[in-house]
Parts: sequence; C-alpha cells; structure tokens
Amino acid sequence: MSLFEAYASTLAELSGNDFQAEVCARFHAIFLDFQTVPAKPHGDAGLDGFSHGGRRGYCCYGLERGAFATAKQCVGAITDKFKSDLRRLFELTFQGKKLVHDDSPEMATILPDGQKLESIELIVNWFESHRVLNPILTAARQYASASGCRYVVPGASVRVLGPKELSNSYAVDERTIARAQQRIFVRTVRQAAEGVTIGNAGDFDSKMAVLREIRPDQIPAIEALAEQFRANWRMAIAFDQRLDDTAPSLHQILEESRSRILTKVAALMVGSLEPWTRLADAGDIAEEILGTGFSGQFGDLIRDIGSGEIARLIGECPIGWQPPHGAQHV
Amino acid sequence: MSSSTALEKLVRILESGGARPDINADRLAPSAIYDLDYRVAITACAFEIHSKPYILEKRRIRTSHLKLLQFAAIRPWLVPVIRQWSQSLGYAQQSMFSPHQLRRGFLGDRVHDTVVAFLVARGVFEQVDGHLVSGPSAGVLGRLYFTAAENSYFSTSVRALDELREIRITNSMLEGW
Repeated sequence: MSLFEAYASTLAELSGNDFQAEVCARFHAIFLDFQTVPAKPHGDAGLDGFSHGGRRGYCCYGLERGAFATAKQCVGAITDKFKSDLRRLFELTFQGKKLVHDDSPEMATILPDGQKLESIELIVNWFESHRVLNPILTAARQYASASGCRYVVPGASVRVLGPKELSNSYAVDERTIARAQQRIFVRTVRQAAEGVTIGNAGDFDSKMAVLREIRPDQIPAIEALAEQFRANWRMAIAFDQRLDDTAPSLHQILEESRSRILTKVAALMVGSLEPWTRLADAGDIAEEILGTGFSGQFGDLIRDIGSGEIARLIGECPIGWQPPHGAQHV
Repeated sequence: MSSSTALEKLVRILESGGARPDINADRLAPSAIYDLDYRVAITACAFEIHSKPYILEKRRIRTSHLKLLQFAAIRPWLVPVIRQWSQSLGYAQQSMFSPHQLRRGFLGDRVHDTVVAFLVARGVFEQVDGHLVSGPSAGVLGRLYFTAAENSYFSTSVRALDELREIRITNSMLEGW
C-alpha cells in the first residue's frame, strides 16, 4: 500500500472532531497561513479554517462510524451538512421554502475586514458517491444568487474533497500517517477502556481492604484512588488488546517493557530504606520505559498508559503490600 | 482524582500506615500469545480445518492464509471484522465501515513467522511456492487438533476457525487491502 493510500484509508477511519483536527493539522503543515477557526465563543460561522489571506475557506465533516447503514444515508447526511455550512457562509436561512437573509455576526470577527472567500473546500471522510455533488453544487449556486454575498464572492468555487483527494493533493510522509493513525488509536483505546471488565480483581480488592484497615480514617480517599487505579488498569488492558490486534510487533515491545518496569521499580523499592517513596516514582519510570518504544506513535497517551501499567502491576499482584508487623489482615 | 494524585495518595497511606512491601515478580505472567505450545496448537487447528488436499495425501495452505487464520483464531473478536471486510470488497461505498488497522494487524505477527520457521525446521511443514505443505512430521498437527476437539481445548479459537470457513478470503485481503 502506498503512503497516499495508507493516509487516505486512515483519514477515512477518523470521524467527528478527530477528523476535523487531522484535516486542520494537515493544512497547517502545507499552508503557511492556514488558520483554524475555534468554535468559541459563539460558533465558527460555518467555517472550520481559512487560508490564502482569507480567500480560501474550509468546511469539514467526519461522518460518525456506525451512524449510517447505507451509502444513500451517507449521501443524505453529507449534503445536508454542507448545504447548512454554505447557508451560514452566505448568511441565509430558510423561512418555509424561501431563502432569506440571516446575519452572521461572528463572521465579521473571523475573516479580515473586507475579505471575501473566493473558494470553498468541503472536506469529508467519505466520498464514495458522486451523488453528493449535484445537490451541493446546485445549492451553492442558489445561495450565491439569493445572498448579499458579504463574505463570499458571488462566483466562488465550491468543491468536495474526500480522503483520497486530500491525500493525493499534497505530499504524504510517514509522520503524517503516524499522526493520523495515532488519533484513531487513542480514540479507540479510550472508548474500549470504558467497556473493559477486570476479571479476578480479588487480589486488588484485598489490598484495598488492607489500606482501609491500616488507615480507617482515609476510607473516602482510598475509594477514590481505588477507582482511579481501576480506570487506569482498564486503559492498560484496552491499550494492550488494541496493540495486539493492530501491531503485534509493538505488543511484544509492550510485554518486554512491562517486565522492565517491574524489575526497575522492584529493584528501587527493595534497595531503599523508604520503599514507598520509590513507588511514587513508578509512574515516571513507566513513562520513561514506554516512551522509548512508543512515544513516537502514541505521544499523549503514554502518560496514561504508564499509569495504567503501574495500576496493572498493583492490581495483578507483582507490586503489593502487607499490614505492618503485628497487625493481622482479616 | 488524577493518576499521579492517586499514586501519591497511595504512597502517603502506605507510608503513614506502616505497610510492608510485598514484591513478587513471578506474578507477572507473560501473555499466552508468546507461548510456543499454545501457538503450535492453534496453528495445528487452523491447518487441519482449512488446508486443502494436495498431492500424495499431503495437504497444503497458503502461507499468508494460515497467518490470517491463526491470528483471528487467537483473537476471535476479529472474526466479525474479517467478515465485514470480505463483504465490503468490491463495494467501495462500504469501505469506511471496515477498520483498516484491524485488517492489517496480522501482517505484523512476527511470532507466527517464528512458529512456522520452527515447524518447518522440525519437518512438520515444507515451504513450497508460497504455500505450507504437510511435511514428514505433519502427523503431530492432526493429533493436536483431534486432542483439542475431543477435550474442548481452545474451543473459542476452534469455533472462530469454523466460522472463518464461511468467509471468503481473497488474495487482496491476504495482502492486507
């Protein structure tokens, strides 16, 4: 698979805000003056970004996977979304079946004074049917005729771009693909973590019970940290599984990293007069070891995964604790 | 509570409570995915279920086909992904419904490559033109498969392999497309 095909297929997997963020990141890398348009404080006026001094505008739509069962439904959703965006750019709304002016006060705070869009690119994560073109392009002409054209020139060009077009338009390198794939991976791991069920949590529960015994005055704090550890543990399990499904060679590195984390943390704790102080460094140790193999691909996720691996080591018992000498754990 | 806060809180409680560390590195169990016996057993089941008759009572399977099959057998949750992938072939409009990263995961399964190399070295397989053909010692594959079937060992994986019989696997899929 060529780099272009790989990037196109990765783009197609992104949806919603992830897709928009990736498109904007791509344009940031290509156009020196590309400007994203944050939706705050009162919406983005239908514009997700602009470049070329405000002459070119961009609207993004990343269909949510699973929301549409047929191609016809995808076509309908895409045309509805982009026609809505175009109406906002042309400052129009429907009253019944009639197009009427609808002020867009935010647009005056976005584009430079006096600047009008000369071309509009509608970027979507699914462009496998040409049937989106007629309704969108026809609507654009209607809107241009009905509009006062304060922010769009009457003859502005409008075109639809899908993942393949966006990929083929400009150079693609491994870093571009990795950035896009990371978004998918991070999203799916976070989603999957919510559905993970921790089996055999008995040892973890008994360790939390020891904590409650030795510090009965800290029960709310213990419950809170137990919940955080379980959440981190689920994240680690989700990361493990997703990595194994999609990149088995990286999963092997994860297995080796896990062993190195335990060895290093254990060595520090056993060799110290203040073993628990060394445990406090475990998160940093895990992040450092995992970062060696994974920071390039998974960046922001590594901190969470490191915490997850420590939680997993606590939960699955390599790292544990006993009550003080003389105290009995019931 | 953030992750770092939770760990700091735990450390404070353990210190102030006088808890004794209990480190047991033996409890860190490696994943079964890296266990040679397990991988050989799954490979045997995949071969016995999916291989086709060849010359002189031998059987054979495409090397890449076996790689995909054993990968999915160990991860049965991928069978619906493969089914959807197969059904979407030739229908570009359905392309977005099939995740690409999950499709291509099996291509990076180096552990399987090592297992196959081991089995070839032991005479269980012979490599012939992109296929794995049963070798002089291939009898072990059948024994492993029938033992697993009789005792319901690896039943989830065997069920996944049976389901995969109903799914059309094409050459383009075996290249990860």
